[in-house]
Amino acid sequence: MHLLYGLRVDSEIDLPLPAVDGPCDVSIRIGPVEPRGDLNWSMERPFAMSCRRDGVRLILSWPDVRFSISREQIIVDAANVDLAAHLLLHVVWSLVLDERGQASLHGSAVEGDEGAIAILGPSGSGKSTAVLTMLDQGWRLVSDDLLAFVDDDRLLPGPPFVRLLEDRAAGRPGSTDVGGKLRYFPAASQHPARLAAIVVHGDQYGEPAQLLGSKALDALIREVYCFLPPQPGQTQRRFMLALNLIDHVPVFGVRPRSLTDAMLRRLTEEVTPHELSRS
Amino acid sequence: MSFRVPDHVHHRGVHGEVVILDTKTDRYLGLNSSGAVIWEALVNGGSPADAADRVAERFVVSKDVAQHDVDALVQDLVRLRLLEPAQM
Repeated sequence: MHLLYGLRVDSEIDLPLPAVDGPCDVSIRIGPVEPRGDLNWSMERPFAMSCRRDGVRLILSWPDVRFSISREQIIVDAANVDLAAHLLLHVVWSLVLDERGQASLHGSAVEGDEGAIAILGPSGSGKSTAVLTMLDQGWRLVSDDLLAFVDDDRLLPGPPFVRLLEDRAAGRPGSTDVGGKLRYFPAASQHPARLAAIVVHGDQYGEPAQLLGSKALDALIREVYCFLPPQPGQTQRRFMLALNLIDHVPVFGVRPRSLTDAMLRRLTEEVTPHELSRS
Repeated sequence: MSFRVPDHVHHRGVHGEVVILDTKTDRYLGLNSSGAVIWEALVNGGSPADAADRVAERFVVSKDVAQHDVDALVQDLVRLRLLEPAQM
């Protein structure tokens, strides 16, 4: 049995996750999956992929792997089991969480003594650089790529590794995954982490400043983890996730690749926007 | 005339603003602080004139200016089906 975003998982596929005891929340089985049901969405570029709804199940199809997903079971039909495991941990799991009524965000989070910081933003905006900076300073990894929540301000631990491109991987121990990145296993949180601040990277932001009202909502809604068109009820769940976070956690907008170690530490000390801009 | 919020619309105050979600279109709208004052007045049974009184008092503007702003916002909210006359 493994633990993944707070759920106990009994898997026939080997997963790089901590072991736990207890009753199973989600089972992962290897078996045939037919691409049947109503077509929700499909694409051809940059890779072929489709999503169908077959009753209570979602059927995800890539060229070499298919998943049949419900809130309590995933069936995996894959010639390449490593690829299946790679897709399971974030992309597929975001859909499992959605089927269970939980929205999630795309981003990474680290935890220090004063709480956790979530860093959100588009690819290439500097999230990984900021996360690595904090990890090298002694912070603990909470989650990389997918952020799932319990209560209104606590993050659930994700897989205990970050995926690094070659230029950031040099000198760090780990193994190369099927996507060609290094899986680096730093010190990681074992328990839900209280979120002290959310930092959102974006070109529209100048000096670091706290986002309020609909600006904060806009920033978080954009980072909801979803690559499929929303199913009934999902938009409202995502809206409420963002609003509940805003009610409990300060949200800051920063220019991409501008976060410093000192700035990140001050975010967990509840600085005022004026003080933050002087960091 | 008084107004009501349709069942498919959800709203919430945040940091002195109001955000409104239309679950039929999956779109949301943010109202700034003056819009929030108008919205709160209307969804709590007030008339557009009541809302204008609140805006005029809160933001120290003339009643005419406030009424103009209220009427424009109400027109938009009704057009977007985020608000409907209470008699419907």
